[in-house]
Amino acid sequence: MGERIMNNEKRVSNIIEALAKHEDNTAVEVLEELGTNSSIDEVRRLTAKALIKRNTPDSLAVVISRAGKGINDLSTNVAMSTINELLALKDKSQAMEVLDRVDEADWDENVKETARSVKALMAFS
Amino acid sequence: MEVKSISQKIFKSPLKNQEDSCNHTNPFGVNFKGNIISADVFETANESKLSFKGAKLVAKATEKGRLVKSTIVGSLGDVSAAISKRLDSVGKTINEFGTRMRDQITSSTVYRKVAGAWDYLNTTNAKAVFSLSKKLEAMEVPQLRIELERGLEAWGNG
Repeated sequence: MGERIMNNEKRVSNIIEALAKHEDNTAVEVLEELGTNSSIDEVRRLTAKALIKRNTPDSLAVVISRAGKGINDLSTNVAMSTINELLALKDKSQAMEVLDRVDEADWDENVKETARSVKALMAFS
Repeated sequence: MEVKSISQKIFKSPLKNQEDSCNHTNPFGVNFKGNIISADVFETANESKLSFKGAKLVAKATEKGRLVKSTIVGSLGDVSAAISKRLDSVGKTINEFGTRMRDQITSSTVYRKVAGAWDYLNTTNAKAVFSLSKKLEAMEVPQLRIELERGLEAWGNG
């Protein structure tokens, strides 16, 4: 039973990864709808990681500019994990652009504040 | 015209004006260049006339003076302290993460785990997981969506 659960979690992880790699951009919508809205912390963490690995403006916008998702997740573990994934990106240019846009535009003040903090960290990483 | 009235006009006495205009609208008895300043001058700034975003803040500050100004400065200080605290906690967490990663990499237990993983890869279960990945990579998004829904349901019920 334990093994089955582990396999199912692994399967979900693989599906999320397959969506993140898919050339069809509607995959981002699926990940946002099912992954980032999940009540399971680990699912949200895996989804945020996958969206960052995809590294497109759309996928990064989900984890950077949405209240309660990605770097703004209500779970500190998920938020910190997302920030770490962003800092680990080899090509940070897209992420920096999205962070700049959040800073300039009329977003929720908490979202802007978190984006500024992450932007500062990325500048030093 | 009487001389008296002319002299009164020429030599305006502030005191005389003050006596004449003594009223409740000038409680502080303030005068400017001999003219009594009415209470209208002490009226607070009309917020609607101020067009920039900080209008309310400015109106409140000018209205209530130093006490409010110091409160505003204090709260700005709180905001910057809150940001610094968050940055510090983020930095601390990242530092802890980095330290943990470094310790894990340099410890011998990591190599044992890696060796164990290779053993796992040779088992039937591991093969099933990897072949599933290849199938998944060949699927279209709508199909993957269905698979994800099923997987999440099983995870949630597990």
